[in-house]
Amino acid sequence: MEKNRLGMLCFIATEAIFFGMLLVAYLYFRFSSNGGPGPGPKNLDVATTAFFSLFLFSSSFTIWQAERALHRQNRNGVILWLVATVVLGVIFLSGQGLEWSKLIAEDITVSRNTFGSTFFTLTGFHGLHVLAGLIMISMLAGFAIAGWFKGPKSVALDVISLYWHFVDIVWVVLLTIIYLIPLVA
Amino acid sequence: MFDPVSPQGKSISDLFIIILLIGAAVFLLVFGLVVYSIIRFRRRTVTDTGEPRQISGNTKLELTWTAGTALVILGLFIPTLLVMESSDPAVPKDAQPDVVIVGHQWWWEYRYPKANVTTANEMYMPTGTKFLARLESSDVQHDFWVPQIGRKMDMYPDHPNQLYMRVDQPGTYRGNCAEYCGTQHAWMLIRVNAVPQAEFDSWLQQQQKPPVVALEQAAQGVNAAPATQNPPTGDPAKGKQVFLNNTCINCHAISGTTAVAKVGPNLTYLGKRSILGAGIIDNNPRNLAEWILNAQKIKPGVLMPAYQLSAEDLRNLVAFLEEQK
Amino acid sequence: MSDFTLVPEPTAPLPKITEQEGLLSWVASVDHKLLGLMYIGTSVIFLLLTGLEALLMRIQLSSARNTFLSPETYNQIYTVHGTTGVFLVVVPLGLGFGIYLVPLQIGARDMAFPRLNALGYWMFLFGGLLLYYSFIAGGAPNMGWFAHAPLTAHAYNTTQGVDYWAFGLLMTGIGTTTGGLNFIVTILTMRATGMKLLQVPVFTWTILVNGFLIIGTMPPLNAALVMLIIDRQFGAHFFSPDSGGSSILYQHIFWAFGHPEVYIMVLPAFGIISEVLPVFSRKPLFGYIFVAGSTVAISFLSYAVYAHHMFAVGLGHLFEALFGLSSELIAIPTGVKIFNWIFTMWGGKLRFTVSMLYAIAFIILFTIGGITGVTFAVIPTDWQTTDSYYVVAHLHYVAFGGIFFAIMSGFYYWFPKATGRMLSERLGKWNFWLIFIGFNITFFIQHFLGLMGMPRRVYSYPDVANWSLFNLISTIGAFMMAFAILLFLINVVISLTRGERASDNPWDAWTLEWATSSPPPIENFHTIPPIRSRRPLWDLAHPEDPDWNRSHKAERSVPQ
Ligand code: HEA
Ligand code: HEA
Ligand code: HEC
Ligand code: CUA
Ligand SMILES: [Cu+2]
Repeated sequence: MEKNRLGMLCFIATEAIFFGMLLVAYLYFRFSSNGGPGPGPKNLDVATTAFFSLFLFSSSFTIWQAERALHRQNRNGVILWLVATVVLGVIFLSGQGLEWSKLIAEDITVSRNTFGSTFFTLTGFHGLHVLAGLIMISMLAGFAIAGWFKGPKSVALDVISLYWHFVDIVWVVLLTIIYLIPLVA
Repeated sequence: MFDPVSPQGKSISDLFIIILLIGAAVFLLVFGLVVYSIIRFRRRTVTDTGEPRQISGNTKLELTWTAGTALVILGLFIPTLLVMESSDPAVPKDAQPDVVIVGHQWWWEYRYPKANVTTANEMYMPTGTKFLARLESSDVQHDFWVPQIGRKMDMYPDHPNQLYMRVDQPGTYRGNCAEYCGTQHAWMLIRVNAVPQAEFDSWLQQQQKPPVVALEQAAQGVNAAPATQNPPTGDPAKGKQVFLNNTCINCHAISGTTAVAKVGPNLTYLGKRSILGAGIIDNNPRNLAEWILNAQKIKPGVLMPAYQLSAEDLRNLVAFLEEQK
Repeated sequence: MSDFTLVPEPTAPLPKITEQEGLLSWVASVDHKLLGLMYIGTSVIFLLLTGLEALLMRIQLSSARNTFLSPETYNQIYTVHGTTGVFLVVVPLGLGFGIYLVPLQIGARDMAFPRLNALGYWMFLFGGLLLYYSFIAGGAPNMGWFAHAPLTAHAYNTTQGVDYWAFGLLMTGIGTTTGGLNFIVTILTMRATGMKLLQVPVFTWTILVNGFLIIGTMPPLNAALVMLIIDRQFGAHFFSPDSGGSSILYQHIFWAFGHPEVYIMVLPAFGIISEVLPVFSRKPLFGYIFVAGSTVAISFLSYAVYAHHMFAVGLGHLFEALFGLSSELIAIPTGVKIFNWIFTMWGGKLRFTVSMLYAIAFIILFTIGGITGVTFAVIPTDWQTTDSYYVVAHLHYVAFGGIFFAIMSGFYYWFPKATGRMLSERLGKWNFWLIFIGFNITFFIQHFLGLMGMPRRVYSYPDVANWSLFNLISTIGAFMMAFAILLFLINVVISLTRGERASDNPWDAWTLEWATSSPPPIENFHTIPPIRSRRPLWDLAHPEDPDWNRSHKAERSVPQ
């Protein structure tokens, strides 16, 4: 296997376990304190977050399109799809920012209760990962504009899009566990 | 091993001896093979540069020692399961504890909920019967460990544990807090006085009644302390006032008085105890006076302030505390 | 440019380091040999610090009710001693040996990501400095190396020690993770042509498994530290029971890291022993496949045993029994290793160099430590011995008697390769015997202290019969070890300045690193010999009886 790709896979493995541990903490408190008094998942605005999530999910599609464009050596396509990915990611992040500010306005913070602690830690770390991804993808877009990508393959794009899909999958898991399951349960 | 005085302790100790014997056998096998190789297969002369036969393995041998070790492991696991049950018997769901032991930084609280008695640092229990302890903590993690009695058990503020104790031989058994709990973890010693049931009952009965101090005793027409016993030089009744007028009552309780705080050890019948500061010094008037003047010097980091009392107040206070027997 | 990476890694040989480039050449270096030596050198300095702390503790403990150290100082010192020993001595020594040796053993020019490699080193160094800076900044951490909650909460711990500890470990933790990742990629993608994965030297194999262990194990530590930091810095409630948090959750997450961590420490040691014993027994490693396979088995099992550090928590007998069983099972693959090592010596022609002495001592001391480990896995005995000096004895038997002895063995073995000079065997034998005797005096007696009821982590103890005497003996042993380590340092300094010159292959060893010059050139190899078996240099020296030929006919039973 190509070494950068293998390196990224290892990195993703560590990140997955890291998020897994934070999730363990979240679930531990959900199950042990049984919802209890104080704010919990019921205070979350599921619809809005689900809506913003769609932007993140579609950005996985756009970065894949960027790779395909590169494969066809279509430089403008690469630029277009990368920029689209960044825009979608930024919209998602703004959605997250909106949610945070709403919660904080209701005095739901990290220091409110264990739900606050775990919720903000999980979404915060996910947000940081999105932000890091956006910075890297913006750099890729910049390189593409500068004409450094000729195709048909680029390790950088390949590796970063792997990362981006991972960040996306983490959000699928978080959205399901934190937002969707409490709706049913 | 551990010199056990309880069936639980004994079953662990027996198990341990078996394990050690197996361990010693395994060690001797390894050690013997190594020593034999060293002697038998050493290079005889420095000039010998010939190479031995290049053998790189033997699957049969590999399977043999894998299976052998697996068998020994199985042999270890079965007694493990048995002794887990015998040394730490299951506690029925609705069982009421005979004593609630609460770890504090750095002393022990003993509550006897059935008799409504609270004492500190020296525990009493009857011999010859199962005695159920509930283990809690008021702050950080502690651990109750009296080696001669049996297993140790952690104490948490958010995870109460239960432990059956049973001691067959009367005596005083020592232990330590066995989970690091801060500055003075070292001096959080345990003392368990196991006494025959009758003696235990009378101890409990005494504890239920508020102590009466010397002068009040005289007023009530009860005999004062016998003359042979060298009485403390202070005036206990005045000492009681010193106690109640100082901030002592913010932290300590003495039954029958207005002092009911639970921050520090309960001082009811302090005179009966043999140690102060969870075992760091013996209980005698002189040590007690030093403790009150500057507990920090005796037990650095202790959560009790120093007091500047006049010599007379101190004498009276000490007399009061030591007089409760 | 079709293969474009964000930060291209250097592909040409890295510039040679010479004196005139001065200090900067070390700071800016990305060469694996230099970084490996920097790792090892830095760890040795931390070893001296942790040893110095140990000596202070031993002085304090040498008699009952001693007042040499205040309780607060003692608690800080033992915490920093344990943290340093685990995170800044043993783990980075393993990494350092790996970083230095792996590219040489697989015939590569450098690690897969040299820059990441350098980053890892600097993270390790600054993490360590951050920890030690806390001594100056108003108080070192004082809650023990595993920092159980809620003693780490603000309510019980008002100094910044815990914060320095957490940030320092987070940094070294990230550094270690990059190291593990780098090992995996290097070993899987950069082996010399012809070298199959099951033909790598055993040391490289253990480092590969270690790489996987690291990337799977460090995240729980990082997660626990992150939650602790958020608790302390932003007032969250993960681990504070008074506001809904859980002190036991911390233990689960920490030990999910903590136990695999001890195998992260020990795997490189296993690798070193598996290199040294064959060379000085003049035979190939007995049962390579079984040694390699048991390494994998150990690393899988190691995830399934962590709760054996929590037997006194009161988690229920069933839960405890499962973890007890898995812990006992680890004795099987470890036993396989021990017996394979013994049978490597069996039938050989043993040469008792200092390196070999350390390796043999390793087998014996590690077996003792392993057996006391198994006594913990027998749960009821753990209920008595946990958190007593018996645990202290166990952990030093495996960590010092085991791992550190292996490291010393490797040090004597590869020193000529790295420096081009031989260490003195005469001084070496002195330091070996002193350290071996001193070690056993110090720690064997601690088993008995534990069984007599002495808890660990106490700055002072009551005057119980024999406690003072046994502790005094232990202290004397520690000073013997300190003297031995001074001898070792003297040996290194003398050898570096006036040591006998080493040939390229002074031990007649068989793995690739001995095919290049001592010390190796900046690009590692000028030519790489053909690789047709696990011992290319044996094949080269014995064309009449090469490994690849023998395994085809004679020993069918040995899988190749
Ligand atoms: C550094 C490396 C290291 C290694 C390799 C080990 C190896 C093992 N350890 Fe140890 N351990 C520590 C480091 C290590 N440990 C540390 C640092 C602590 C203390 C943490 C703290 O609290 O501060 C600790 C604590 C510790 C505990 C918790 C004690 C307590 O606090 O209550 C337990 C409990 O089960 C345990 C078990 C084991 C076992 C079963 C092994 C096994 O892997 C051992 C296997 C090896 C052998 C068994 C010997 C060889 C085998 C044979 C010759 C075959 C035949 C043998 C038999 C049939 C028995 N260890
Ligand atoms: C893994 C690495 C490691 C190593 C190498 C050591 C090495 C030693 N340890 Fe350590 N120890 C631990 C890991 C280690 N330890 C851990 C994890 C704990 C648990 C901590 C906890 O409970 O949180 C512990 C706890 C521990 C305790 C128990 C403390 C307590 O519970 O209160 C003791 C007590 O005797 C001890 C002693 C020693 C001694 C005497 C050495 C000796 O072997 C050291 C020998 C080395 C030297 C003596 C160095 C030579 C120094 C000089 C020559 C001075 C020159 C110095 C300069 C110029 C700076 N250790
Ligand atoms: C801030 C709280 C506080 C105040 C005020 C306080 N104490 Fe204490 N006291 C403690 C604590 C906590 C301990 C247990 C210390 C330990 O052993 O670690 C203790 C221990 C003692 C002991 C030893 C008890 C035993 O069984 O070991 C005595 C006696 C005592 N206090 C007397 C006094 C007297 C008399 C006063 C007032 C003049 C006083 N205390 C004021 C907190 C306090
Ligand atoms: Cu209480 Cu240690
Ligand atoms: Cu372990």
